Amino acid sequence: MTVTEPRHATVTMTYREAVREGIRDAIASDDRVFLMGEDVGRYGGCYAVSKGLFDEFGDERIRDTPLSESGFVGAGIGAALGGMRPIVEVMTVNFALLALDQIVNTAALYLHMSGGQFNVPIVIRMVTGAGRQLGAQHSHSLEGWFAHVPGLKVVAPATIEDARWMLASALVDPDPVIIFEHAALYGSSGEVSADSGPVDINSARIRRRGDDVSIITHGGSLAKALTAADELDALGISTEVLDLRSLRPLDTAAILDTVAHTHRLVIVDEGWKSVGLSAEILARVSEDALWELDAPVMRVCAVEVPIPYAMHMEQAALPQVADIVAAVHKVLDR
Amino acid sequence: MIEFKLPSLGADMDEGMLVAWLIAPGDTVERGQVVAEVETDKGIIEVECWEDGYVDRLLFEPSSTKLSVGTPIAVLRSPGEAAPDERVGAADVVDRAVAEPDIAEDEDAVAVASASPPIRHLAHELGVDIGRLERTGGEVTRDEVRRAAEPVDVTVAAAVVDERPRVTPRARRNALDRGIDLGAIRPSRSDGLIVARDLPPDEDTPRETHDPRQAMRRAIARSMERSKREIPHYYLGDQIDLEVAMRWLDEVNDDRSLTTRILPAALLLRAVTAALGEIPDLNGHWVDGAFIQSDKIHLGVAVSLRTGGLVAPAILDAGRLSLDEIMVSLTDLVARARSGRLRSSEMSDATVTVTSLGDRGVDTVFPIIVPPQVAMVGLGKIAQRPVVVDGDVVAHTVVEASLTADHRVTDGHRGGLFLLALDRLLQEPESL
Repeated sequence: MTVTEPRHATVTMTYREAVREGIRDAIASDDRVFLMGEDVGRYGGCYAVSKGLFDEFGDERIRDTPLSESGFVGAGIGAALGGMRPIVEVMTVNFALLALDQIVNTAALYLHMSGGQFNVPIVIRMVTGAGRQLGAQHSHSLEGWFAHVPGLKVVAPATIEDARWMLASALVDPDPVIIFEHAALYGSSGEVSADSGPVDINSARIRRRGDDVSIITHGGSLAKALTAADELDALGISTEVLDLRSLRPLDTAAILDTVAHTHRLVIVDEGWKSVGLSAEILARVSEDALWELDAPVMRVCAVEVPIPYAMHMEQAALPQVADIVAAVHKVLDR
Repeated sequence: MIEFKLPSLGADMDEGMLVAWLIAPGDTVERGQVVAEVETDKGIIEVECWEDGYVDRLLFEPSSTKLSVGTPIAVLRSPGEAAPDERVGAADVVDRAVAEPDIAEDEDAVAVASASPPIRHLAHELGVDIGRLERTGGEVTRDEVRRAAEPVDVTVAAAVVDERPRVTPRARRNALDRGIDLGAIRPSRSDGLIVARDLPPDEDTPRETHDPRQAMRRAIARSMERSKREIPHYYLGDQIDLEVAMRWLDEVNDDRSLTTRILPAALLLRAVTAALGEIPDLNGHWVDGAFIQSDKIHLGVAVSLRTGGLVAPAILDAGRLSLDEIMVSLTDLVARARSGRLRSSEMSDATVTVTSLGDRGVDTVFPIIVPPQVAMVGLGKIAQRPVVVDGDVVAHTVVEASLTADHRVTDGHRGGLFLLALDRLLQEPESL
């Protein structure tokens, strides 16, 4: 006889499904919300995120756009100014450079330049990251560029729960929010509590507690950091892993706290080191937690080259679990 | 090899100055032998060695530099352990040359004599100082000279030569806050970087100056602060009639020469150890949240110093000593405490302490416990007082005995039993 145990109510879903559920929820619950982007409608999205939504909601709410990032991001900003709550999908952050003027000069600045009269409640979703052999023009991690700009909020869901619920919080936010979804995460799956709800989009979260060393990371590198932490645990090294979640604003307090706890730091970022996110984190640690540091800090970042196409070269250019483990050994000298 | 480290000479000691070595390389040392004199907040302490063996190297010259507790100060060899041979590399030679120039000089004389002229010429060409070669004897060979000429490992050489140690920010701040000399810290990391764990354990120490009296004041302050912060004290007092005891003591002393007479203080100490034998849970240490009873009574005796300040060295294993032996130990201890010549074990091992302010004319003392001990006995002035005996007021010699104890370990009832036992024992002085 099989007894069905009353299970803690959870739902297993992929990262892709989680994002889709978030969009579906938002569109179903708020008439002002619509999704717009290249191939998001009839084709179902380049990464199949919006698959099925066109049939469900129709072409008013799921809108295919021409291949013109500057044009449709600008249209999204206009819609937001007009009272709508647009979700604009940019196929990858690499293409968002065509829309930089709209994002940086318009979306981020209007509230300031209008003396507080016009806020721009737009949400822009972008794919970031490498690992799928898509070539240099589709593979870069440019989150840091956007995190540089006052007036924007920048978040990076790394877990299924954040993928499911960050969108709802971003839509509530009165100002532009950019959500970076890592391309390699879409197929990953995990459990989400059935009664989970909107999450905050301005704090970091500790994904694993540890005492010997802290790894600070975000997005697509979180899973690698956690795998590295497992390997290190087997060697008796206790690793704390901090998921930044929000890249602007950075949760400085959480960064300083973990450094104050373990006194040793490894930063993992799929972006390049130079003038990047990892540099900013390290700068804040130097400013406010220098005296807590009990070992040199190590950064594990992408090699400073355009991300290669060939698989072995692409993998060699990206932070890997072995690189993270090696960095921790070096920091700890054991 | 055995590293001989600067021992902690009391719970509140973090560092000390090496005043003198009483041993030299090559000497045989025995467990318990006094090998060095170290100046601490409490004066100059004779440091005992806890291993049998031979002295291989002394790592520090006596100086006014403060060394942290736990710093290796000498290297000993176990009995039977061979002397180091010349596999010792050039880096060690550098190290030795820095650490102990005097000793190296002695060895030179032998080595130089046994190098042939061509070898000396080769050494001169390669810039090798034959006198600095580490060797066991015989003719110096070409190979030895060439080996010595090989470049020293750069990181090791840098670590020795560079006067500014490489230190992490955390370790540097920690050392600065606690007044630790980073030059005396030996890094544990392979890259020579000094990290926080290389520093001696933190005892929450403020920075020290070189004024020994101020330093002692601060040591007392630290200990007493900790006591009042951590220990829930309770206080009991009892007037003990010494009429019988003093009369007995007079009779005993009648037959003795002046130098062998027993002072009332010794009799009281003997009675205290006997009473502690009956109430052993006043004797021991409170460590990490638990009481550890001691099977030996190391009886701390508070001695005030003429220069000001206070030390409480212990009469070791006082529970086993006869009255006469306690008298001898007490005289010796007080004399050495006042001349600043106490031993490390006497400074660190007390399991219970007695304080007597009777000679200052005080009737009653309310002691504060010295952590990690759990009790302290106070003795006031021995004096004639009116007491009631069989309904009559008569003059008797009495002393106010008090007990302060740690309420985490004992309750007032136990403490009361101790004072009662003390009273009873002093009514039968001949049994002591």
